[in-house]
Amino acid sequence: MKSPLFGSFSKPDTDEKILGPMQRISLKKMRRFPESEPVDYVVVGIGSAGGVLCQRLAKAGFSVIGLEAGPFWDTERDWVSDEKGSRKLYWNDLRITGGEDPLAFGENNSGKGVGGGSVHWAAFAPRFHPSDFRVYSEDGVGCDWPISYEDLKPYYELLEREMPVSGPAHFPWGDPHGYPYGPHPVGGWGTH
Amino acid sequence: MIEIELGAELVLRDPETQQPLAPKQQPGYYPGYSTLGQKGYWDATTRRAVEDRVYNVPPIRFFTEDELLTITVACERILPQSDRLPARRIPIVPHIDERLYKNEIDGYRFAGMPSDRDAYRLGIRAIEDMARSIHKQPFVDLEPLKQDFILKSLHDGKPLVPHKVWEAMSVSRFWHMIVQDCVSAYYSHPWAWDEIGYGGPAYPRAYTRLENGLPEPWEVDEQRYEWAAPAESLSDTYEPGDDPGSVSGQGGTH
Repeated sequence: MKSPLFGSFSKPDTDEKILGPMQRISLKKMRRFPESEPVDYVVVGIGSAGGVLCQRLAKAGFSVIGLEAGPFWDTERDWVSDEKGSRKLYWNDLRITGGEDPLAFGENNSGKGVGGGSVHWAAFAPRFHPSDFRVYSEDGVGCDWPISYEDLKPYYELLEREMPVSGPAHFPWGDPHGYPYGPHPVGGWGTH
Repeated sequence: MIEIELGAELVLRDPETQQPLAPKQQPGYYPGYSTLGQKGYWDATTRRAVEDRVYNVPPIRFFTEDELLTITVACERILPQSDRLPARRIPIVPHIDERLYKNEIDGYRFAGMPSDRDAYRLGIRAIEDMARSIHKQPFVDLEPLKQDFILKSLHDGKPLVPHKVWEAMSVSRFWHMIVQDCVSAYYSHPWAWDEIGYGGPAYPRAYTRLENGLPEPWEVDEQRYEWAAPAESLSDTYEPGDDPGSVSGQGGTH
């Protein structure tokens, strides 16, 4: 099987990073700045939040540098279709968890490499419920957010169209809303 | 690499005839199924990673000879493999040893716990001391049932004999780590996938059956049969109570 989907598996081209059969990134197109040059913004951590922020700032005409830890993965050459073999994608540097009821850190919700945790994100994008922003007032746990669901709602709508997110035309939980793209078929696990 | 011989072997018997059963080439309910037989459909990087687990078992570089004996027998009691041919037993300890040798950690440690490396050395010493103080014998020379009672006391968070190691290190967290390492080594091996009928790596072929209960075309139907748990085992007598080894955490799919 030499040509899965739309492209060949692997090209020994030093300039390009292959992000799967359908996507590749050319490092040549990325602007670089000498260390002495002042820039408008430096974003530390180019994960789901920092990566989008970099793109938006650059698009608006600012000069932006993104700092990232770990390798720039080439998914075709570096990744395996295997759970244990994927451990290298996680943030495995030592952190100490303590307190009265210490949490075990989840390994698969962190990432070390360009893209942070987004490199192994499973493309699950639910909105918060309006009540999630007021958990202290309503449930007496954690703390309230300084912003409300209504503040975020326009951005949810924007990103759901841009990514895009698929789902039912009427999603009844939280703030009822629809999705711009139809839902994928439900697999066996979703019917339990 | 250090070669060791395991202690007493358990004999499996046919539940009806009570005749001893020959060690199996392949345990589980999917006779003849081979995940590795599908390797031509995997990408080269994945194929290399999986084949390495079978054909390139890492040498022992972390554990001392004495530690290796104790941990090997303990892991054999945690995940017994005496029902199958020695050549078809999944290597557990070499993977734990490699993890510790390379100091591969999960990205965190509970406050108050020593490093994973120290935790293993301390835990092994405490297991060994427990065996010698109760039975005046090394752990590896005990009958499997006596080994089980020692290990069960760690599982329960109540070591049979106090030891200064357990004043400095949580028994439950140590037990959780060793069980997790055993399970991880075992179920990352393609022979374990054959045993449970797991389809193996999905890239780039992908899955074709979304519906619940429908096997992929390359999977095979389950063929159940009766079997008897090893006679000298706590598996049938043990009644699970509170699980002190569980850890609340953030793991999950997102």
